[in-house]
Amino acid sequence: MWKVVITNDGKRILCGSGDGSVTVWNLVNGQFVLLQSFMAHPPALYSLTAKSAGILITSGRDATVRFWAYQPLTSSYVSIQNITCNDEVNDVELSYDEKFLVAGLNNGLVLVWKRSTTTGNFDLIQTITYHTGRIIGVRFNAIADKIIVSGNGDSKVSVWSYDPAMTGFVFRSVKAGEVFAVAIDSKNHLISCPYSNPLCTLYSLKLNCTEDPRSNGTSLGDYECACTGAYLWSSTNGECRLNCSNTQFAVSTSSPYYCDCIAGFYWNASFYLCYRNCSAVPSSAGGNINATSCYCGSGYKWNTDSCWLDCALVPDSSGGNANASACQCIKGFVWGAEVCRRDCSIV
Amino acid sequence: MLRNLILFASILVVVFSGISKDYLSNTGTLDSTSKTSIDSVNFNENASCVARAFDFNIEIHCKNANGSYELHRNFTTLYKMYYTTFSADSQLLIAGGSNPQRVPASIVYVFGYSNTTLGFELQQNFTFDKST
Repeated sequence: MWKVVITNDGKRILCGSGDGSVTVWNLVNGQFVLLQSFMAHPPALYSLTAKSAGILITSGRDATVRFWAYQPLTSSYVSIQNITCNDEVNDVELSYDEKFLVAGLNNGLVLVWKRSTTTGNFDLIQTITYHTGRIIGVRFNAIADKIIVSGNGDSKVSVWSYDPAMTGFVFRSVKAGEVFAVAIDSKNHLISCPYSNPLCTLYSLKLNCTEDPRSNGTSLGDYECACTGAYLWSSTNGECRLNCSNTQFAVSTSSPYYCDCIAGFYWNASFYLCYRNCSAVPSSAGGNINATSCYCGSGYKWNTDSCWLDCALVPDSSGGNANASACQCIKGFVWGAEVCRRDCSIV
Repeated sequence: MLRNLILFASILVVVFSGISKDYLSNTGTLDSTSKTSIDSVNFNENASCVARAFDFNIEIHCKNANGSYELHRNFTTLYKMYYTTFSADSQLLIAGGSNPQRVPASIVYVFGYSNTTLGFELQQNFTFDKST
């Protein structure tokens, strides 16, 4: 026997044996009773994984990952998909929610599949080539945002974190040393047991705050760094980012270094502020006086948020503006075609 | 199968190996009186306990009041134990093993958490004739 698993609902136990068979028990009236025993993965099964009762995945010496669906009508598993890999598949693990599948190969490759929401099939999204020797174990944490890999061949345990932007798992950390059995909990605590003795080591995956240039290098607990100056810790991004909530005309931050600005404004990296985009302001000369004001073209002056006609320069104007592009005229004159013209209707 | 081979070969091999922002801080060890290596290790759902399968043993270590793991149960078996894991709700612990000198050759143990003894107690075991 190589591996025994229990489904998330606690009602089914599946056991994979070295001869390639899978034996299944169901919980009936508080006792597990034999449901099915079938040859699943000849000539040798190395691993199996199941989270719901509906799907079973096996792997083995024949360099395949095999998918099995449970048919309630016949109370049995039937083969639905085979994936051929380029070496023996020593371990497979489904994430708790069955969205991801990871496999560790004898040649050091780690393959990650994501389940298609439309077809239900598992599509390969990533091949991790980090390890140089036999992979003996692969494990997800409970929320499937971390994978740990037991690199038995190159004596390394590595940790990978899911990055939605890259639609894959990115390298987070590694520990060198003889490794065989590994596990990870939901709070990023790891246990690693070697092959030659029973002394297992417990680890906590912590942020290395000295590597965040916007942190002062101080850890606040296991997974937060203290940030400098205008930066705030972003638990979503796992890094110090600009505090955009206190920045005028900013709406959010999509980068650690700048804030996204409201429409009509842009990020000024020299002053760490949102500046008005003067080139888009009508009648502007294009440059900024400050964050909110623009230089205006000839005959115009800045007024609150736009360039207004400078009525003091307009002949026969009283000096005041009717609006941005019109002046008030002295008695006997009316505004028309950008000048004060004599009001001929009263002449 | 050929289609899958082609699909596999055609997929771009990518290594995501950015800057490490994490490090693994050593927080303790879990030893055993046995000299044998550990075949399988797993946390329960809230990591309050760790189960290990090795040699002819199933060990359960649970956290004490200080937050350190200490040996909670040690079940000795007649079968070489290969794998152990908790159920998702941590109420069950299962373990599997084999012994080719016994008939049937394989066994699965099911331990249930007892609110009376505040520990895992053997609930059921079933043997079957499968080799390793």
